[in-house]
Amino acid sequence: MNNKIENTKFMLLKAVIILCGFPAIAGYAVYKSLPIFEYNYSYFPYVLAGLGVLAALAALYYIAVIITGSLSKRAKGKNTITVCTVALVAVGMLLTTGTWFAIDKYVPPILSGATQSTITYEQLKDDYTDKARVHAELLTGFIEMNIKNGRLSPEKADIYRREGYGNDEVKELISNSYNSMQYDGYESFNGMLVDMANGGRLTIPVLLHLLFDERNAPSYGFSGYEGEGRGEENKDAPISWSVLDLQGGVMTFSLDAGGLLPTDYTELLEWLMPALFGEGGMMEELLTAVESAIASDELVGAPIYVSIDYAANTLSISIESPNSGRGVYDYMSMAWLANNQLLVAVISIFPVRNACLMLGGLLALSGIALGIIRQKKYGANVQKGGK
Amino acid sequence: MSNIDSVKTGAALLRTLKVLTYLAGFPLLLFAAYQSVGKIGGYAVTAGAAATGFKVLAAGFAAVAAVQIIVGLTLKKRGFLTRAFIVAVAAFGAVFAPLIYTETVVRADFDALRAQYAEEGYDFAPYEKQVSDYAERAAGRDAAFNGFMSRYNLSGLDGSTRGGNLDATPTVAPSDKNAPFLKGFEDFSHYIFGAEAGSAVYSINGLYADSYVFGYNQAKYILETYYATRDAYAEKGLDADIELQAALDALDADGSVWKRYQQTVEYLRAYGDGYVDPDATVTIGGKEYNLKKLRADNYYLTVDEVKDMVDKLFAELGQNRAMADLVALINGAVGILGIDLPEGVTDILNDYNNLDYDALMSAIAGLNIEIGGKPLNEETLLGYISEYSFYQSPSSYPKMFFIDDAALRDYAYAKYLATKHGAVVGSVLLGQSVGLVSLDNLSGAAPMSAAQLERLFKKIEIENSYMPKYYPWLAIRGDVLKLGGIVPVAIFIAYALAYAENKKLDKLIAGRGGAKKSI
Repeated sequence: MNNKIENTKFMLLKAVIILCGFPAIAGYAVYKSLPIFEYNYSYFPYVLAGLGVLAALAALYYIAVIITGSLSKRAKGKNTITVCTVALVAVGMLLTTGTWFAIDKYVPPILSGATQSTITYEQLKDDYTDKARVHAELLTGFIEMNIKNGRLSPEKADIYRREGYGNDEVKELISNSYNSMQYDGYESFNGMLVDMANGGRLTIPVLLHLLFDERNAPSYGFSGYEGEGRGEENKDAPISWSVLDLQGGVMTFSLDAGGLLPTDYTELLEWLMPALFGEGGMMEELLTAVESAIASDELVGAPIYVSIDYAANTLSISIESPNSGRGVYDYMSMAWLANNQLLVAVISIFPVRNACLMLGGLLALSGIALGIIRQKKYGANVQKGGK
Repeated sequence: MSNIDSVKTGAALLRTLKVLTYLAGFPLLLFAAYQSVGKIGGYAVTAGAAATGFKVLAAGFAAVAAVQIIVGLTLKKRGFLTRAFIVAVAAFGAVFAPLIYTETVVRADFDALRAQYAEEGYDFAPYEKQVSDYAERAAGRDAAFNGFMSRYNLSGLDGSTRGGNLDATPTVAPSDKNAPFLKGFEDFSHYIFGAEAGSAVYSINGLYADSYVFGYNQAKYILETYYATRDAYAEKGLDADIELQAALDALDADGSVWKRYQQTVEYLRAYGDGYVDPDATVTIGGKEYNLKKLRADNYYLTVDEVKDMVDKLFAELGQNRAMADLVALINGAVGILGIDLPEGVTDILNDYNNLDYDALMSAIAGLNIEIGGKPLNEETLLGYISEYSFYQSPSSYPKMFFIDDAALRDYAYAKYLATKHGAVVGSVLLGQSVGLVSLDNLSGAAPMSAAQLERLFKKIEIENSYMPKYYPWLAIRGDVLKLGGIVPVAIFIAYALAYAENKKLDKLIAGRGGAKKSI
């Protein structure tokens, strides 16, 4: 009877101690992962990568618990239980702190290699929740753009929004859009020029090279664009990309128009400007002709939007890519989006990493506590059997 | 509390004090020195060089530890005083030797260098001043350097390249004996611009590779060459630019070496009209190139291309509804305002839907507008385009290679690299806008004057000559002065505390009737 109570007490204590180890870490990791699940649930099962790693570590740890437990139970030598305890603590440290030390050392170069240094380990390490949001917004933004331009059917809008990356149409459109940009855009340029543009050296000569030098022929040829853009595109022709599409954003530059014409014509200029640039002015209409010329093979061969404003003798000219109408982002964001499932998997690992590093000590403590109660429980046998 | 307990507590207290005292000696000095070294690791004194003095101190610490062990093993029987004295003397030596070295050798060296520069007319702060503010000076030197680097948008000390040449011809280093450089022409032997100024990346024609971004060394060499040549010509009452233009014009004469070079395969395969066979290949540096790829006109807008673009634009505009409105508006305004439009313009307005490149050019010429002192016409407009869209083939010599006068040729290269090459790679070195000039940053950065540049280069040269050499010693000097005296004392006290602790322990063992233990 006494023995039974003793046994129950032992089992209970053991349960409490074990709960304070990995389950505590897992609880914290899950709690910290909740925002990531919420943002990126459509990337199932990738979004669970972190917890998968944690489960694997836990499994290994509990195998060690079972082995050391059974060794302790059958302990003959005086030191066996102590050795088992030390071994368990060491395994715990190795699996938590050790694993992440190794990952901290070897994963960063792989990550920056895979993302061409556009995402670094350092950026993710402590800011993973925000990154999870940013990458989730890439997806929701993409879906909205393409519902708006009709590439995704507006009638099924709610389904796309709900299913996200889990929806096959969305998945396929992401892949096609990115591949088109990759093979018919990025890779059609001379690599040296693209590197200079991306390296903060998009000078006017480099821009002219990128716009007008001969490029490699398109090899992917994704077509079927039905955008609401200003320029008219041929639905059956492969989408063509200019360097502005890869860069994204708007480029604006100003010219001093005041000094351009002889003073005899200033009056005429003052007369014309409101008609050109005022509300409903002719400039907008004229620019469609300019844009259509730009899209032709004689010029850029891909659409670029131009807007011109005139104020205080200064012409400010903006050129912009038709990306948002086409339902795509700049090249870097598209590359992220196309690999979002992997990035989400990587992001999901960070709460687990941080939980393991922060609470790894708990595992050591619970290992020691386990050792103490084992000593109490089985130690007597050793004494009796005594060497 | 029992007697034994109080002895135990006393021993533990002594042990703690012993460790603390020991830590207050060498380890504290090393920690302080490490912090000071961290303050100078940057551009002027690299992190590796900065640690020189610190490394000597750390080696001293290791040596003292070794002495401690040896003394402990060999002089066991002697009293603690002897052992403590020997180790303290060793520590004194290890700490103050670097200080004495700094105060004698380094200081004498420093003063000599300062005197030498003073003879050349350059002054820098004396040793006594720099010993206290060396860290600020190193930071100031780095700030001046970084300011120059970011203004001109340079890349490190020796620059960098992003993928070599547009036409994929090889990039080479002058130091490479097997580099497939061109072989010169007639009396003009091969020439590599600035081969001695650092290690840049070149094309086989001796110019920098297409995507090569200058480093500090190259920018300095280009700017110094440019200004030195200008000054030399100015002293003779001449203008280097006029002389250069004259030299280039002379090369256009019939039968000149440049004209003869233009008949060579080397030149023709890049620029010649006859070399259009798409299947023909040439081997450069062991690699086979399709001649089509080597043609320079692949990489700039030709007049024909510009014509096609303009024609296409007008074709689109001609069909545009708003054009008719615009023409009507202008005609109306001209009538009301009583303006006389030039004939070319009226022609364009009346015939806008048949407009093309040639009509536009004659109309523009008819406007009689001047821009920057030049009449606005086809030639000036194409000139503007070629400012930004041009290509110097990396596999043939540029015209300036054939300038006879070596100084003038250097000047031509320096000017070309500083302006044209710099504009491509985003590091313009000369002109009103320098550094990165791009569509959304047309004004670039403001240039430094020749005098400012000269001062900066000299300042950096002087500082480079002494900062990396002496600052690592100055960095530890202050800490040794402040904490060095404590080190032997701390070691001595630690020994004394160890002795007292042992006495207590002996008492404890004796009290229990155990054997006497020696530590």
